[in-house]
Amino acid sequence: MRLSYLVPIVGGVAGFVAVYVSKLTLPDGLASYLSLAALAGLDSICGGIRSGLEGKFHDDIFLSGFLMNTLLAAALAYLGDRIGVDLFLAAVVMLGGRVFLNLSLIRRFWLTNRQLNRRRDAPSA
Amino acid sequence: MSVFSSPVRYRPWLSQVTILATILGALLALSLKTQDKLRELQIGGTRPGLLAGAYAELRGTSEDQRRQIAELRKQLGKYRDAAINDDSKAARMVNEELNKANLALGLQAATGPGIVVVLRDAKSVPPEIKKMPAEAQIELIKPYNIHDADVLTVINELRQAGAEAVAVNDQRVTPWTAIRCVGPTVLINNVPVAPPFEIKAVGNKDTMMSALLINGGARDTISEKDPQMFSVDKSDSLTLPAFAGAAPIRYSRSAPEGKADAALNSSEAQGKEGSKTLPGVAEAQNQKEKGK
Repeated sequence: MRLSYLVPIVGGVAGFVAVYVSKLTLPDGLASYLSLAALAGLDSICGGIRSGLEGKFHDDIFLSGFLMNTLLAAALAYLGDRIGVDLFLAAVVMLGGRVFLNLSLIRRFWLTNRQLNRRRDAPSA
Repeated sequence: MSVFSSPVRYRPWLSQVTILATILGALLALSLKTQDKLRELQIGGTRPGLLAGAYAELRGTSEDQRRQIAELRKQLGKYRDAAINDDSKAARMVNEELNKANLALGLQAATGPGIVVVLRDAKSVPPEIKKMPAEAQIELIKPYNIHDADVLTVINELRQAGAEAVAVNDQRVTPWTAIRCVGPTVLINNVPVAPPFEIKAVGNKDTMMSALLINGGARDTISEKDPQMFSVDKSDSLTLPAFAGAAPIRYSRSAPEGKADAALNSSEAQGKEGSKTLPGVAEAQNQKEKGK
């Protein structure tokens, strides 16, 4: 059961290695938008794991969230560059905050779960 | 059983998360690669060490070639002297003229009394400037460093005071010498030269000295921030090296007699396209009379 939680990480590493080894690159101008899209993706994945652990996972929300967040983050940053407002920073702050929040919730869940399991395993009086 | 501890069974969400995590990994890798590429571009080359090696090598060869030029020129002088050994007065006069011309052009090492000006960067920059953001610093730090313009100012002042030969860090200043900043160094005769700049000038010591030290003159403007940025000394015997190269004459030709006269006459109506001959000698004479 524990190991099954590692599968997303393995997937992530596999995707990372696959692209890193390949010759694929993007034009320089898109670098910052791509980074932002990656951050948004990270946020979605963390959110997905969290909701899955909490038993509130909805595949439609997860999928649309991943796609929309990545695209929107990049699009908003682009718009910000165009109109001279640094929306890039706003997106970074928001997404970064959410990643931290989700990670802390995942950690919380894991700790609570462990405690519950221990209590269950203990010989009942 | 609480909401948190969902029963251990097949979790459909895990597979979905895995798929998207794979995409995320790909995104991260792509972004990392692009950023790496950008970082490389900013350095300006993939292998700075290799470039530095190539640079040092080229510099060595150019140094060798310079030495070779000096050697060849010395030989040429010897041959010339030997050729004129036939004791004809005309030949000796021509040779004298040639030597003088070469001296004035900087194609021959010059020796004589003169002064030595040393320009160096200020020892320290006030801490309040160092604390400022980098962009604000650039402008404020300028007067603490020696720039190409400072070297040019001194050379200009020296020439105005009748300097006959000038050299900066043993780079002879010729009529075709350019002096300009490239990064932290200054290019003189296309040779990188770094501060402190030692400007040697052969000429009338006292005139040149007072031209530089006059109130509000070169010394005052250059050493505004730190008196040690500008120092000057008289010398009874200076030797300035010759320009290591040949006069780059590719486009100009000696003008025939008639055309030269026409240029002289039309010097009042300046800016005319008609004659491209320069009335240089007359102009210089005027300048000399005007100065001081």
